[in-house]
Amino acid sequence: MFARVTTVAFEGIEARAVDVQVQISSGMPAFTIVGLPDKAVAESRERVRGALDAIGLALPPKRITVNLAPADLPKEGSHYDLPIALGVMASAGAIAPDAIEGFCVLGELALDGSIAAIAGALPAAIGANAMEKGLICPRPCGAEAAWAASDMPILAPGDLLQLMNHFKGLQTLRRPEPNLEPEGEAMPDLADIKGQETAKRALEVAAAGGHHFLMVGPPGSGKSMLAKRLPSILPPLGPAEMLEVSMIRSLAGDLAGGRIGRNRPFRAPHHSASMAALVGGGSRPRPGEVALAHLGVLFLDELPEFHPQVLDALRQPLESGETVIARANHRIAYPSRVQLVAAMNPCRCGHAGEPGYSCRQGQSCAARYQARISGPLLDRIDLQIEVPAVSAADLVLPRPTEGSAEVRERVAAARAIQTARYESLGLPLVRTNADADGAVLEDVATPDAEGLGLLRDAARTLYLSARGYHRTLRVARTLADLDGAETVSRVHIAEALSYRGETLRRGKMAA
Amino acid sequence: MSRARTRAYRDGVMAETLATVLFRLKGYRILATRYRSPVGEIDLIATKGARLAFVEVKRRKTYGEAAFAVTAKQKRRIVRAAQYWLASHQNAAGRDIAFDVVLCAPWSLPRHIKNAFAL
Repeated sequence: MFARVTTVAFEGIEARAVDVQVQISSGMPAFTIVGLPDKAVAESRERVRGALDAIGLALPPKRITVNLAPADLPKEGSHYDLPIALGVMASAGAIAPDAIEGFCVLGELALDGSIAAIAGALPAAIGANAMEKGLICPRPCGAEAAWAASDMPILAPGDLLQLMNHFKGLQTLRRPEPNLEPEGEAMPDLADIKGQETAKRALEVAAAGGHHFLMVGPPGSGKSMLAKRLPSILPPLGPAEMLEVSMIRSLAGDLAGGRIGRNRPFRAPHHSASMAALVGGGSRPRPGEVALAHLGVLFLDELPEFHPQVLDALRQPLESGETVIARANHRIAYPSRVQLVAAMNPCRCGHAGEPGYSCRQGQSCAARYQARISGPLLDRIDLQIEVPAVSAADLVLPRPTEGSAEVRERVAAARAIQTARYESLGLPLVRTNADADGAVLEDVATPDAEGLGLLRDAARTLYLSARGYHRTLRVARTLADLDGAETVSRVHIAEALSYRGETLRRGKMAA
Repeated sequence: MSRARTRAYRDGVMAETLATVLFRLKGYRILATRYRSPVGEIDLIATKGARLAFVEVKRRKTYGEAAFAVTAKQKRRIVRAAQYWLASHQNAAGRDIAFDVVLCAPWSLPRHIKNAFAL
């Protein structure tokens, strides 16, 4: 009269094993679930009752106690229905208890006995594989779970009856096939942009070095267009990275059809986004936009319109590459190594600094607007450029010959140099120049004598801060990598110095 | 008591007697009828094998009406009364406790619903 089924609880992208223990004993007929269930889990009682009814099994009129162990871990989500139902069936003798022994089970039940999709099948499958168990998951989730390991047994039944028949040997459930997103999906191409050569070059540098990137320019200058084309010149995700990205997407439940793609994620949250939407969290922790953009691009359009607190909450993920959500009940970390791309107008009316335009409110308008972004956040953005308005003359020009494909090749070459360099230095955590810091940076990016001279002059005349100095070095290193040069030279330093965001500093000083 | 109430009472007792006969025919041993406790009343307590049934008898013009006459509040009273009864009958421990309902309607056989409700 006792049965146990294994399932998982999610802590960030980790799946922790949860033991579902079901006991049926005589006494007052009751069905109780203990072990810190939240509302969705406590309600699973009624779904289990309905689903069992639908396949012609009645809950025994006895005392049924379900314990979710470990008892101190809060259990959230709807995926506990299926393990509870299987536990009840096993302890009532409807299925053999050893049939489910080697499986980790998750799924939501409908009242008609069908098994509905759940979020997080991929992390659960990876967790089950680590426990050396198979996985039973809903049919729609089978394709994504199949990515976890090629040799683990996976059952993806569409309803409870299929699963019972499988255990009885009346029907065999086949292992679901992993599903890949179709290659070469049309992404917006860099060739669509006429003019803006400086901005395109800066975009290429940002892609090559993984640098955070800020564009300042009047409305309609093509900032958003540029940002949307960044994923098309970034190198595709590697196999391990694909899995990481997909695990987060799986947890957020937006892995449509279980298809895993090689394209880097591109997230563009609206500027009204709340802190919980951006960094994740809330009383039920979910990955936020930063985590969903992991290994991809987080695009913040109209940067100063975001709530200042929300923007400052981005500092920690940008610094450490992971979002830590600490609550009374949980402490959860989501990986979030993102490339931040931001766009903003120089002032509220959008035209400050444009030749032949004078704002009625004068300098203070721009200063006030730009002061909404905190200095520490700006400090973390390596590349800051001005994007001037596009003139009609640019639009008359023919389509540029160079598109995303050519740029992607150069970017991939520069990335390959970086990967080789940091691997040979024994730094697995540093993947691109943007991650290099302190001593490592000094080691790899110290310029030659001429470059050093220029840098020294610049530091004196431009009042470079320590952070500004390092930023210049980082960008210069990427420029050298794009050239395929061994050492950083004077031209690289000079170009890097031009990406320092003159407008913003000017605005700050005027304030 | 008014005429109508007397009549309803008589019909109710009649239905309970009918239910008792039904349970006897089904092989149950009757432990109590019209059990009254400070926390509620139970129309019939009967046992068969390991099964210990607390039975509520309802009589209305139709089965449907009778079924809806068992309200949530009444269910709670019956469960409380059952607990009260169990407390004073220690030898009942270990039985499979069930709550049944018998629906009665004029000129029809009583209908027995097993495990009509739970806690």
